[in-house]
Amino acid sequence: MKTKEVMAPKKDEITWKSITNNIVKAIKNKRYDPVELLPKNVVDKIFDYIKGKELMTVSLVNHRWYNFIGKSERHMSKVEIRIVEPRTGRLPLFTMRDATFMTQNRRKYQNISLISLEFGLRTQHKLLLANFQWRIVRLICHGFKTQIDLNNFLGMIEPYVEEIVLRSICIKKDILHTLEQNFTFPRLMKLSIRNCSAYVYNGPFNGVTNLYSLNIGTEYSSKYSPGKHKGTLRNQGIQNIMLNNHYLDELELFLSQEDFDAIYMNERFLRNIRFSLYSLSVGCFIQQDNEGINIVQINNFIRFLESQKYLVELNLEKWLGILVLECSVNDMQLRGLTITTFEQFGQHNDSVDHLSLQRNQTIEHLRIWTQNNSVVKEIVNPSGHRSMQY
Amino acid sequence: MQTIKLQSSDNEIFECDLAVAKCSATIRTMLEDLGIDENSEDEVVPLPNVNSAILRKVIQFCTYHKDDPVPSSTDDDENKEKRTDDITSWDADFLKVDQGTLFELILAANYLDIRSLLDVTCKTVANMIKGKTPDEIRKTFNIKNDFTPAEEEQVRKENTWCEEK
Repeated sequence: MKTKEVMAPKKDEITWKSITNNIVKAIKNKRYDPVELLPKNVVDKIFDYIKGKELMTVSLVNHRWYNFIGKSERHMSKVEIRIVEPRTGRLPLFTMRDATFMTQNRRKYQNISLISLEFGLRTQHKLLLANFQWRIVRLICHGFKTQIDLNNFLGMIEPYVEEIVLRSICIKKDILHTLEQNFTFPRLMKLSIRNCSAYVYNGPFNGVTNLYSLNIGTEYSSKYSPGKHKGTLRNQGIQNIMLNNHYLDELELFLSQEDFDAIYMNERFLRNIRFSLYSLSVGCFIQQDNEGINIVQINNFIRFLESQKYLVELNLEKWLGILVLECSVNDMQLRGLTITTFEQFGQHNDSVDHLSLQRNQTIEHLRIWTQNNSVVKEIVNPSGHRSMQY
Repeated sequence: MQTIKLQSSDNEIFECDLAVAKCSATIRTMLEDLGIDENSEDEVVPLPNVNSAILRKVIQFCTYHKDDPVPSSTDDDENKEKRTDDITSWDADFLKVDQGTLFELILAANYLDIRSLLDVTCKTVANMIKGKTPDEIRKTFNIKNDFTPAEEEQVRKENTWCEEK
């Protein structure tokens, strides 16, 4: 028989041979450590089937496993460091010793959630923040003395952070704009600020331009920095962030009456908006029950809504009134619509009737919630046809 | 039916369906790159990294699975929940082998680039790890613990701050 030699691919030949030799040796010793014997891509694939928290337990098998998992960004991205103080229950307090240990071991942590309501950020937290390349940072903290303290924190996470969530950040001594901070946050794409002191909205994030997702809430912000000028500072900051980020895709705005007025009365600002949203969630905390008082704002909001030609998902929370449904929603090409606590104004049955589903043929998913979060209607219409009933 | 000859590392020659051999992306690329004429009967593809016992198993697996739909590359989606409890009974029976054979099958699947075999063997190993304590995992694979009790305690403590993202 005539045979023509075909060259086998050279792919990984050397490593393969060493791996085979290892296997032979391992079989002799009846030692089958997958992390030792299998190629990295295969071990990655095996560990992909194991969830983050369990994988941390698995890493206790031996140093080889600990290092393989700990040094892998792919696997470490599945977990989040969560430090909550004051600690309740059996869980230990996070001490300086723990921070030192974690820093020395250098598992490639990327996500951190810090909740420190009583003491603010302490040395151990700062050590942790400064020594890892954090990509997602969530912080709930009442404990910043001044803006400088907050900026020191933000400076530690600036280079790598992709997503920042700030809640209830309270700056105790709010010295008004004593310094300009030149943060750029080169990788920041998602920003969420809710119920923080005014400076958080207007200062550190003024230089950010590449956000695709923005979530702003000021429901209780006035508690964190009372005073008239603080409100102006805050809502000017919100407007700046919105004007600076042209590629914004998802926007959530949950505003106090003060900020709602400032933003939706400012027609020039609304005209200058450059982004084109895919998804919008809005809520406002209008104090007056009388619709008539907010008529200018709501009209401007409607005009803003109508200018968003590519909007697909709309979520109206703490509902903005019947007008929005009447004027806008019927003419938009939405795919998903959620309306929450809609009985705030008037009779809800009447209001929902204004929503003409005959005309909204693109809607695939409609959800209507009441104040106590029970679903009144949930209609899924995958075909987008007229079969929707309510 | 078209056939092809495969030569194992210990020089045994296996004749199998071309369609079966083409489950292996490595063999597929080899045939394409080297322009082997599919009509010539006397081609032998040498597979120096797979021994005859394993090659026999691989051919058995590919013969059974040759008509399976090709999984789309979107299955690699990061967000998709990775399941390990969806191994079919035929595959489970097929993989009732000792650990050495299982590991050699993984290496062969990886070298020959047979996605379905690599998936199911990796799932099998993942199932040997899942839901076990570190000590049970060590027993399963006969691994020595090289942590000192103090180190182990500290890592355990460190893990209490790790949550599912």
